[in-house]
Order: sequence, then structure tokens, then C-alpha cells
Amino acid sequence: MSWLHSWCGLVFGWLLFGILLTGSIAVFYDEITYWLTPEMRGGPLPERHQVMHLGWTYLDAKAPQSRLWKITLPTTREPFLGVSWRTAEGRTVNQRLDPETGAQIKRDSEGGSFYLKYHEGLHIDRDKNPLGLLVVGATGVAMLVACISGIIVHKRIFKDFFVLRPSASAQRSMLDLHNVLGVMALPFHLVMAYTGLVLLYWLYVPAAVQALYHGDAPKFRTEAITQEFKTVVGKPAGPAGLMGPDQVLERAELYLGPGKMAYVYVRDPHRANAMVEAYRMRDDQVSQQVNQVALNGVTGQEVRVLVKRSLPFRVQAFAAALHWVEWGGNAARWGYFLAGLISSTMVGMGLAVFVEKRARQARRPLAWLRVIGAVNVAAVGGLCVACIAYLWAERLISVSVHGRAAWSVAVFFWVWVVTAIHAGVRPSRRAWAEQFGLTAMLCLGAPFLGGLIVRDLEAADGVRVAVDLTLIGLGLVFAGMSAGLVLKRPASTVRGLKLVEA
Amino acid sequence: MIAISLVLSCVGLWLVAVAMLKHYRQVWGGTPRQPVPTILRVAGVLVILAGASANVRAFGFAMGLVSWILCYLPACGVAVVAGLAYWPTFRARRSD
Repeated sequence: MSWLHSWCGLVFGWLLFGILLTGSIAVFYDEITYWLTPEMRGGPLPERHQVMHLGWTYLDAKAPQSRLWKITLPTTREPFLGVSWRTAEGRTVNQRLDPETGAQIKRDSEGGSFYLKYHEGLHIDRDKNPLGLLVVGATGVAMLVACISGIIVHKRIFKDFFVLRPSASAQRSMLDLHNVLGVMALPFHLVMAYTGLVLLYWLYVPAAVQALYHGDAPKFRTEAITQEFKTVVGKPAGPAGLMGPDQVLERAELYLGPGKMAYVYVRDPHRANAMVEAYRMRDDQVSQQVNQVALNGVTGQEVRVLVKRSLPFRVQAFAAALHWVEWGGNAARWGYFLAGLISSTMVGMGLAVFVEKRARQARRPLAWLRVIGAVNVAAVGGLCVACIAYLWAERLISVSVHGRAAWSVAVFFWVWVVTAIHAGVRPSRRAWAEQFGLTAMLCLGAPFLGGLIVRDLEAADGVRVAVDLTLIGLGLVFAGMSAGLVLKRPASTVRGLKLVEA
Repeated sequence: MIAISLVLSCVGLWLVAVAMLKHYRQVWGGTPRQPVPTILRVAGVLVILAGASANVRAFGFAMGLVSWILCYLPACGVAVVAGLAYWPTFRARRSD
């Protein structure tokens, strides 16, 4: 079992660290997008009717013939008006507008959703290639295996529940930290690994649908995971027309609750069969599938009501919400962020313990251990550098550059490649210290790019200042870790660790 | 309310921790006589539960319980462990 925990943890730990770290950052992906988009304005949001009107008028002028509109109202997390429409060719156009002026926010950027894309599929386009999703799924299974085998191999789990010996040997103190972070946040590790798999059950466990429904996915969806609706009124065949945005908002919020409509789809606008589907916000319930209402686009009458959701559907929606944490506000998000960092540190410590333990036991230098040590540095330290380098790229690359979003992503991966080369050529301990030091410098410098923090403080922009301060805090932590590696007793004094230093 | 929940959770976990012989010796020196460890454990669990209920009160049942179990309790646990790791041992304090 120890062998399984060690090797499963090592092989998948390289991937897992990145998935966990980017997942932790992605908890605040909206805030990061806002921080990376100076065109967005903070402060109090304009009145919802006014914003709805703005989006409606924009779509009416821009895409009157479209068969599908979508209007996403601004929130404190996403303070912009989102509009999208489907073109005659079937392509969907998304635009972000200033909720007060209606001016388009033209910035080619993935923003904070870059971290989300890496977290869920290693930034491989899921529509073109499911490889990223499959690899992340396999890593999730490996995380569950490592957690359970870790509980079994940790014989003194209760006796050492609160034990951390920072002044003991490097291996002992790192193992203590790995154990403490693993045990304390065990519910988080297990729930995140499991719910991550439940999110995409149809991809990860297709055998059940094959066996029980002979591959008939629509039948499976109808029977197992469907939502039951009741059609109240048939589609009208009267003259074309469309109720106004004020009416839509009022009618929708009658069903969804005041101030609770998040976004609305308008199907077949200006046609006799126009239909408006309004969806509720997810911020006050632990369920990813939220209430919705469908209205006749001409008369405003309710045409479809939710009767019931099947139990599997509700369970899946609950599990998905546990993973996505769109509920609970900033307090819950900060909790997830910290717990995610605990998970990442636990994995990073596990990787370091693997090398440290074997280096101590070795009687001669082992080349493979040197390679594993270098990969550890690249997977942990290198990814930290790359994650912050992405923010620098987003801040420094001009808005006018063609393909700007792709350039920022390229910077992330190229920086990671460079850190991997650095990890390969430098002695292990120095490579750790240098990469953590570089991460610290990038974190501490990012808020000062172009006097950003000064402007944020002057504008009293709470979200941007919070991102600035978090970066500075993380920078100080990384600086402390780097200094600790430089100042603490060199590992080469430990028998057999010279090979890591070589 | 969330701050109260965090403080109660930390205090509760600390009480459970010092009920263990190793940490009892570290904090107070000597060996505890029954029923002191039992009292500490029971008190600790009760305070932890009070922390959970404070969070439930702040967030509502589902959100409060989930966020407390998944995030706040582990964070408090790590804080308590870090505190105990750097807590001066009883002997060291007496020699001061």
C-alpha cells in the first residue's frame, strides 16, 4: 500500500499540483478577470432595468434577425453586461459591455478563466479534444487512490493528528507537514476529487450508459437525469412582436425572486413563437442547476414550469455545486482558496518527501532520483512562476496586439518550459530557492505594474485592492520559503543527499 | 459570525489537542489525571460544535455546514497545529 501511495502520488502528483493550484486560483477567476481588465468599472452597479434595457437595445440593433440572444446582467463579481447572439451561420458572438454607457469592452483576453481552463482540462480545447478532460479525470481518480492509501499507510493517524516538528530533520518535518495538511483537509481532498469526477460522469463512466441503456444516451438522460417540465400554454400563432425588457425582468423575477435573475435567453425574437427563458442566480443555494422560467415572448405568459427534478439530477447538481462554489459569497470562496492551497502544499510536500527519503537511503548517487528531483522543481516551482508570469503577460501585452489572448497563454507555457530547463541544470535546492524567489518577485511586482496599486487605492476599488494585497501576501510567503531554503542547513550534510545537489 | 465560528473552532481543536498526552505535557507539563483529558476532549468537541453552529447561523444550513467542514475546520486545524508546533514547551518556559 505504501508503494501504491508513493508511486501513484509521484506520477500523478506532478499533474495534480498544477490542477489543484490552478483550481485554487480559479476560485477567484471573475475577480482576476476584473483585475486584468482596467476598462471595467467597479463601484455600485446601475439599476437592473436600465442595464436590461441597454442589452436589449444593443441586441435589437446589432442582431435583429438572430434566432437566439442572451443577456447576462452584471453582478458585483462580474461588473459588465454580457450580450451574445447566434449568427445565421450558427456561430455564437459574445461581447462585454459597460453597464452604464453600453460601450464595448474590447480586450482579447482569457482573463481569470485561463486558470479554470487549465484546471478542468489542462487548457486543451474540450470541444476539439477530450484528452485534457480524460487526463484530469485520471488524476482525480489517482487523488482518491492516494488519499485512501495514505490513510491506510499512516499508522499513527490519530496519535500524530496535531504533530508538526519544524525543527526535526528535513524529511521528518516535511513528512509531518504532508501528513497534517493531508489529514486536516481530508474532507476537502476527498470531496473535491470525487465531485470533480461527478461533474463529468458521462465522460468518465460511459460504461454504465452502455450497459444499462445500450448506449442510448437520450433515453438515459430522459429517465435518470431529466428535469420534468409542464407546458402550460401552447405556442401562439399570432402576429410577431416582442415584449419589452422591463416586462421580461418583472415577469421573470416574479417567479425567480426579486433581483435574482442572472441571465436570459430570447429564442426567436420578433417572431410569433418567441420565447424568453430566464435563469436564477446560484449564489444562495448549494445546487448548480437553478430554477428557471420560460415565458411567451409576445404575451409574457408562463409557458413552461418546472415540475420536479429526479433524485440523481439533484444529487449531481449538489455535487457540482460543491465543486464550483458559486454559493456562499466571498467568505466561502476564501475558504475554498485556502483549502485549495492546503491541498496544493500537501501534494508539493509529498513530492519533496519522495526524493528526500530515497536520497537519504541511497548509498550512491542515483541518476533517476536526480531527474525526479528536477521534475518536482519544474512541476511545483515552475508552475508557480508560470502562473504569475501569465498575469504579467496579461498586464504588459498591448491591447492592440493581434491574438493577444493566445500570446498570454503562450507566455505561461514558455515560462514553464524555461523553468523546467532551469530545474534540470541547477542543483536541486538552489533551483527550488531560485524559482520560489522568482515567484516572490513576480508576485510582489505585479501590483506595481504601471502604478496599478496606486490607481486602485485612489479609486478605492475593493476587488482590485484585494487582488493586489493577495499577490503581495503570496509574494511574502514565497520570499520566506526561498529565504528558508537558502538559510536553513544545507541538505548536502545529510548522507546521500549530495546526489540531489549534484 | 464567521469570525466567531473560526475562533470557536480553533479553541475547540486546541482543547482536543491538549487532551492528548504529548501536547498536554508540552503545554502544562506532567501527566494529566483522569478525568482531565476526558473533560478537555468533551469540552473541545462541544466548542467545535458551537463553532459549526455559528457558521450554520451565518450561512444557513447547507452552505454553513459544507463550508465549515470543507474549509474552515481544516484551516483552523492547520492554524492550531502551527500554533502548537511553535508553542514553547513547559520545561523551556519554566527555565525562562
